Formats: sequence, C-alpha cells, structure tokens
Amino acid sequence: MSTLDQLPTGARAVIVAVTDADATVVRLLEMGMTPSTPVVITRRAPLGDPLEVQVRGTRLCLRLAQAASFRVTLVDTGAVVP
Amino acid sequence: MSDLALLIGNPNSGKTTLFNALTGLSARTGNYPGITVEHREGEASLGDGATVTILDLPGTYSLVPRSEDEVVAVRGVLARLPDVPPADVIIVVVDASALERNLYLLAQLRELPLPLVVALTMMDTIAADGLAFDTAALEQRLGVPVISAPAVRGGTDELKAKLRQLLTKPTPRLALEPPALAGTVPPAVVDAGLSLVRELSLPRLALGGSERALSLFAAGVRAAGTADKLGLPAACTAAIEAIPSGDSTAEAAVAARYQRVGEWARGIVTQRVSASQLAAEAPSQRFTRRVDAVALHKVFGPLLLTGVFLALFQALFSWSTPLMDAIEAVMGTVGAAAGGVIPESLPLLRSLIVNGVVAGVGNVVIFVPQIAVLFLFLAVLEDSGYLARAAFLLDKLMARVGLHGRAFVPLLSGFACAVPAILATRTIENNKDRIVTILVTPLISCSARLPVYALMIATVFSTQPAIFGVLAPGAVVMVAMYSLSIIATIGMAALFKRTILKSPTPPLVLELPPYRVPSAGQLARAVGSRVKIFLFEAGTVILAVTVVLWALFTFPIDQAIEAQRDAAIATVQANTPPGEKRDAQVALVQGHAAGAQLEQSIAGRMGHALEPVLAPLGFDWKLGVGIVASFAAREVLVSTLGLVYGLGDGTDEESASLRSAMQSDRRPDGSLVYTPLVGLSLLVFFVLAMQCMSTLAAVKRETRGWKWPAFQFAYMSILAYAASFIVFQGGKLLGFG
Repeated sequence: MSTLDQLPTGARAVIVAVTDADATVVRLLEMGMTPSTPVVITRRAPLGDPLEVQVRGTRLCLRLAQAASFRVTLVDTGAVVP
Repeated sequence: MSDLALLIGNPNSGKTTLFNALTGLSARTGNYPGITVEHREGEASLGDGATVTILDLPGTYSLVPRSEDEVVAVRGVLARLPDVPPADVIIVVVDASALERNLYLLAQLRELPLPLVVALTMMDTIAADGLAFDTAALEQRLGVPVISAPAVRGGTDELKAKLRQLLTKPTPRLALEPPALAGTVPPAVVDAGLSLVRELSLPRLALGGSERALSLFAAGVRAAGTADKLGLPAACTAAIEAIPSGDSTAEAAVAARYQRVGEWARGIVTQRVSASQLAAEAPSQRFTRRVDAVALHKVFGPLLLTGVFLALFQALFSWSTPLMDAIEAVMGTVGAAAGGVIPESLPLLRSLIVNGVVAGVGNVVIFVPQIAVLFLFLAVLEDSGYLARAAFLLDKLMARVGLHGRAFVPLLSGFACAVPAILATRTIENNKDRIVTILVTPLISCSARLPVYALMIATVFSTQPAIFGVLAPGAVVMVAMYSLSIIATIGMAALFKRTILKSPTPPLVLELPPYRVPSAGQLARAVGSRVKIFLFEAGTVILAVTVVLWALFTFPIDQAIEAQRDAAIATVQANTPPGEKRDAQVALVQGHAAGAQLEQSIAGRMGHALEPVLAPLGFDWKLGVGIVASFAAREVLVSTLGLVYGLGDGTDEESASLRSAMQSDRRPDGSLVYTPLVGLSLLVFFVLAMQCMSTLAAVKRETRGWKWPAFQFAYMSILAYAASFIVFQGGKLLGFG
C-alpha cells in the first residue's frame, strides 16, 4: 500500500486511511478526501511540490508533506498503453 | 428592526453574485468593530414593501474555521459578532456543480437548530453540461427548503418568495442528530459541548439538544487551533482547549458526515443525454482544462506567470503615467488659482494654502491612478481564477522563505505603493505570517522611490564611462537597486520567520476553481473600495504631514533675508529693462533667498544637526534636510533639494538646473559633494529606509497598534544606516573616494 505522495501523475486511487491528522489534514478531509473516496493525481507543480488532485469533483492542491498522510490503494496507474 | 438574513457558503460558489442580485444598489461595505475583516450588507425587497437585511458572510468551507475570514462567518452563525443579532434566516449557498463538498457545510449547519434555506447556484452550468438536478428529492432528503437561484434576470424571484414566507411564518427549527461515531467520545469533548450549549444559548438561538453537535464542533475547533478567535466566553474557550491534542474525534466526525453527504447527493445529479455522449467531457470544464494545460505546464506555466507580472508592471508604470501627469497639471492649476485668490498682503496664508494644503492633497491624489490600476489588475486575476494557479506555481518558492503563497500578491503590489499592498495582506490566514509580510513589504522598491533613483543616477552616473564598454552605468545601478530591494525583502522575511515571528511554514489547501469572466460591477466595487480606503486612511496622514513639513520649512522667517531680497529685486528692476532677462534675474534672487530662508528654518537646522550623524554615510546637511522632508513621502526629496539649492519650488528629477547645481556643489574643503560613491550610498539608503508616514499609518491600522510600526521604523532605519555606512566607508577603503 502506498501513500498519496508516492503516486505517479495520472494515477487513479482510492483513499484507504488517514494517518497523523494535523489541522491541515483535517481540513483536507473536510474538502472531501475521506476514506473510501476515489482520487486522481492530475499533476505536480513545476518544482515538484505541491500536488494537484481531483476528488469529489473538486480540484485540490496540497503539499507532498500532507499527501503522505493519506494511505491509498492504486486502481490504475494512468500510464498510456502504447 | 428589520429581519436579518445571513448569506453563507463556500468560496467561489457564486455567493457574491447572489448577494448582488438580492441587494442591488443598497449594498454597502463596512467593518465589524474590532475586526479587520470587512463585511457587505444590503437590503432585499421581497415584495409588498417587505424587506430583509442581508449580511454577506465571508466564504467558508466548514463551520470549523481556519482563517480570519472563516472565523467571522462562524461567529455570524453563532451570533457572536458584535452588534449582530441571531439571524432570522440563514441562506446557505450550494454550488450545484460541486455538490458533495458544498453539502458538507450544510451537514454541519443541519446539526444545529438554525433557520436554513438552501439556494442552488451554478444551475446554468449543470444545464449546459447536459445534466439534470433533482431539486425536489434533495429538498426531501435535507428537510429544509431548496430553491434554485440562477444568475439570470428574475433568478432570485423564487428565493425571495420563499424568504418572505419563512420570515412571516417561521417553521420549527429541527436539527438533525449528528452522525454516529465509532468508539466513545472523550469526556473533555463532551464537556466542551455542554459548555457551549450553556454559554451560547440565546432566546432566538436555543441550543438545548445540540450538545453532541457542539461537542463535535469543539473537537474540530481544537484540532484547527482557532478556539481563542471565535469571541466565545472564556469558559468555552477554556473547555475547548482542555481537549487533549491529538484527539481524533474531529477526523471521525468529518468522515461520518461525508457518509451522510454521500447519501444525500446520490442520484441527485444525473446525465440527461444519451449513453453515446456519456464519454464526452462536460463543456464547462473543457475550457478550464485547456487553459490549465498551458497555465500549469512545467515550462509554459512559469513563462505565462512571468508574462503576467511583466504586464502588471507595464500597466503600473506606463498606463498610470498619463493620469498622474494630468493630476499634477490639475493640482498646479488649482494651486495657482488658490494663490491668486488670496491677497498679496497675506503671503504666509498663501504659502500655507498653496505649498501646504494644495500640495498635500496633490501628494495624495497622485497615488490614485497606480493604486486603481494595481487593484484592478489583481481583482481580474483573482476573480478569473488565475491567482489560484499562480499560488500553485509559486508555493514551493514562498514556502522556502517560510511565507504564505498568497504573500506574493501584496509583495507584488509593493512595487507600486506599499499602502495598498499592506491592505492586501488580509488574505493571509496566519497572523504571524501576515505581520512578517507587512514588515517586509516596504522594502520593495515602490514607485515613489523612482524619482529619487532617477535624480541620483542622472546626477552622478550619467557622466561615467560605460561598463565593459556597452552597459550604461545608470541602467546597471537601477537594476542593482531593484535587486537589492528584492534580496532585502526575502532576507528579512526569512530572518523574521526564524526569529521573532517564528511559526511553521503555513500549510496549503488550495482549490482551483473553473475560470470565470469577472463581472465589471464587482471589479469596479473592489477597486472603488480600496481607493476609498487609501484616500481616507493614508490620505489624511499624507496631508497632515505635508502641512507639518511646510511649517518646519517655512518658520522661522528671517526678516533680514527678506529685506535683502527685496532690496536686490529693487536693484534689478531699476537697472534692467522689463523682459525675459529681468524676469530670470528676479527669479534667481528669489531662489537664492528661499534657499537661505530654508537653511535657517527649523528643517534647515535639523539638517545641520543631523550632519555629524549622516557624514559617515557621505551625506552633507543639504541631503540631511532632504532626508527629513522625505519622511513625509520619498519623492519630496527631489523638490526639497531644488529648494535647498535655491532653485525655487517645482523642480523635479528631470530638472537640468538641479542636476548641474548638484554636480558642481563642493564641500568647504573643495571636494565634490556628489561623487558616484555618495550617490550609491544615498541610493542604498533610500532602498532600505522607512520614509513614508502613510505606510506607517497603514501598518498601524492593520496591526491595530503602534508596536509594529515603531518596530518597522526602527529596524529599517538601522538596516538603511548600516548598509549605507558599509557602502560608503567600504568604498572609501577600496579607494573609490
């Protein structure tokens, strides 16, 4: 099982659990990133951080440090099949 | 006593558009006493003379607040805002195109006995995307009225009818029991809930029965760390802070609420079109996705951002220039007219009116074009949604300094003028980060420094040989000064964040809204209110200081110098025939006399008194006088030097006579006053010194006290003196002389 910050761009996953929930992570939960929610990694910023994800119809940006608090199971790497 | 309706909802949910549609021209901006956040309030007419006052609360994602803005929204709901009673109805704006996230706030509100009505926005987006929205089903599941409020003419009619109905015949307020949580809730959380019920209940806000809901609220507030900001009774704040840190009730509550939200939202939004079109992307998202493919691209994104910044500067420095020139011309005419009205026999009054009051008003009004252009630009960037993309791209850089991503907006504004820039820091959530941003913003080279740079560079660097044979030394120095200001800003911000205003790098939770075309009305309102604040807050200070400086520069009046001048003028008039030559000679005499008066005036004596302090920096007493004057406004240095050199008033940085006067000025020992090294030292001083009373006034207003402006003045003065000292003395040691 990996964490959200470890997923490649384009990957689809489902949030399984949340660890080390600080105030920011709770706010991310409030924005819809709760367990059993599907999430898509849209892109990373040019400098590598932050991360843009799609969750419950919202485009949300968060830092890798907070993304590490979300345990996910990969559904689809999103890699293009040649 | 009119009925009160609160308007609450997520940011970017069309709440402002709805507010404007409901209140029209009656809307006004104001301040809650003791709170920096502004609010908008207006009246909506509901038909047959019935009206309701609508208070637009700041956008919030949750009833557990994280920023100053959100705190105000929550306080409004709990009736904890000064002078704001419990609401008769709360209109909850729900963006139909982001249903689940918007229903989360509603889920929290449903747990309290509040008079709610849901207004659905963005219904046109839903329709355009070929989707259907089952309003009736949602209303049944939520247990509160759900009204569609599209942004079209007449779109608010249904909502107004419902409001009228609810206000004349209020329905019983039935709160929903909060969702069940696995495991037991810690006793400290339960106690906090009980405390809130006990202390917050009011006749029109009976919270009995909401113990569980408020205990979950308490747990959330504890996790967010905002207990002391909600204006709660001391007992409640204490009860909330007694909850152990690391308590996980808040997380569990959020997850449980989203379960409920999921059940509410299931099947409400459905595809209206045939199965073959299901794969097609929603048209409303296509434009945004395409633009973002460039705007957020690894290479093109930063390029576009740089282009946008350059466009901002272009707008600031070139668009506002014709307006500023026009203002100067108008003020000149007004001054002359005012001077003409006052009889010759009252020269002092005339001087006060022309050089004090009119000049003071001119000093204020001249800033308006730049402030207006800057805020217009920023409002367009914000309302269109592009600013969020910029924050995404810049986050890593800002975080490295320890600053908030949104700090780049005030810092950018600082290139025009620090006063509106400091106003723009309100969007920064964390108070320490906000203060750090306020403290370093004046280090950014504002446009008032430009005339000083231009004068100094033209005086001492225009005659120097080109560097490496190609680069004009003046241009190099200009770039160097701007670079110094940027480095100083970043350096001091980093220093403050590591020492006196230590706080962790602010976290990032950023929504990227779809791109929208900003409404001209909203833009005009945003710009208008900022300009108004500037005129009344900074404007009054600038005017007052200009008058005070006028007094320092005018008094005392040496009668001997007056007599000498009159005699000299009489001699000229007797010996020279009327004409251009005589006028020029008279002007020369008057200029010299004015210079002599100035030298013995209070300001002149201050300049002389400061000379020993300023000598190590390479400045003489005339520059000392100029520096005293420039504490009102930096560009005043130029006209003051003009006065000191006997050129009369009205010199600017392009005045050739001022330049040659300075270039030929020598010290008592015969050496030049203005060498390139002195020029450099003065430039460095102006880059770093706090020389703007209006900035200090703005800082005092935004930090609600004198502590921070005083500290800011002190640290910047020390920084400027030290840097100037190092440049001048270091230069001398290296033999630049």
